[in-house]
Amino acid sequence: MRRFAIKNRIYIERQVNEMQSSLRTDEEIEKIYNRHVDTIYRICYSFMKNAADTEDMVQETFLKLIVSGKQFQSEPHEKAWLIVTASNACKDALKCRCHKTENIEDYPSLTYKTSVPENPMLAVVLSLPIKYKEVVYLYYYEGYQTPEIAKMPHCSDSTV
Amino acid sequence: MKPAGKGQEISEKKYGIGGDYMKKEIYDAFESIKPEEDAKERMLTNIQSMASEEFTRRKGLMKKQYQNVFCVLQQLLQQS
Repeated sequence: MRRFAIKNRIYIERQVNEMQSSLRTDEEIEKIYNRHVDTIYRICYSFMKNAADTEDMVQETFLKLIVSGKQFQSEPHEKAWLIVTASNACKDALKCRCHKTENIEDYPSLTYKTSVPENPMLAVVLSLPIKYKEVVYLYYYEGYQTPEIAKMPHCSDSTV
Repeated sequence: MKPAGKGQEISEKKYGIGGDYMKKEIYDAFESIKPEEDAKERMLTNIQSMASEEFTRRKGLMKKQYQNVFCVLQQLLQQS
């Protein structure tokens, strides 16, 4: 029994060490963060339309990356993964918000949550439906080609 | 009656040939979205602290799970 307890303890320690080694160091996290924060911020802002919610989504996206311990073949692969994760996180957050009920007394404060952009083109882009927004961003800003975009949200070239 | 092809002519005048002007406008619109430096630092600090909390939580959970398994096995051994 004692031998089993020791074995069990060793096994736990090994599992914890494995988990620890699969996670990135603070330096690695900082490097990845600095490489992609602007991109992820842009994509989140285009969904959330305000700075506070955008910051939450950016944090959630990078946290998912850290916790998953996922290793990437290349930087473009890493970027593509982050873009898809960020847009999925924003879509989920917006879906939750649709089903959330708000107190009517809070309504005046709720109307100020979305800031109106000064750039008229930005206002137009932000007002696009979610399914177009992501594609417009990937095509016009990131410069991805149609087949590359099609791979990201898993739809056909013609749909894109 | 508008002559044929006039629409394209107007579009090219307004947006440039091949809609390059439009592309630039959209690019500039996205380019104007940028996090402020203090927001960047704040987010990084939050991410690092949340990651550390998450790791501690998972470590605790893992230990608890194995302890539970150990307890069950101990009981089974005592019964047999």
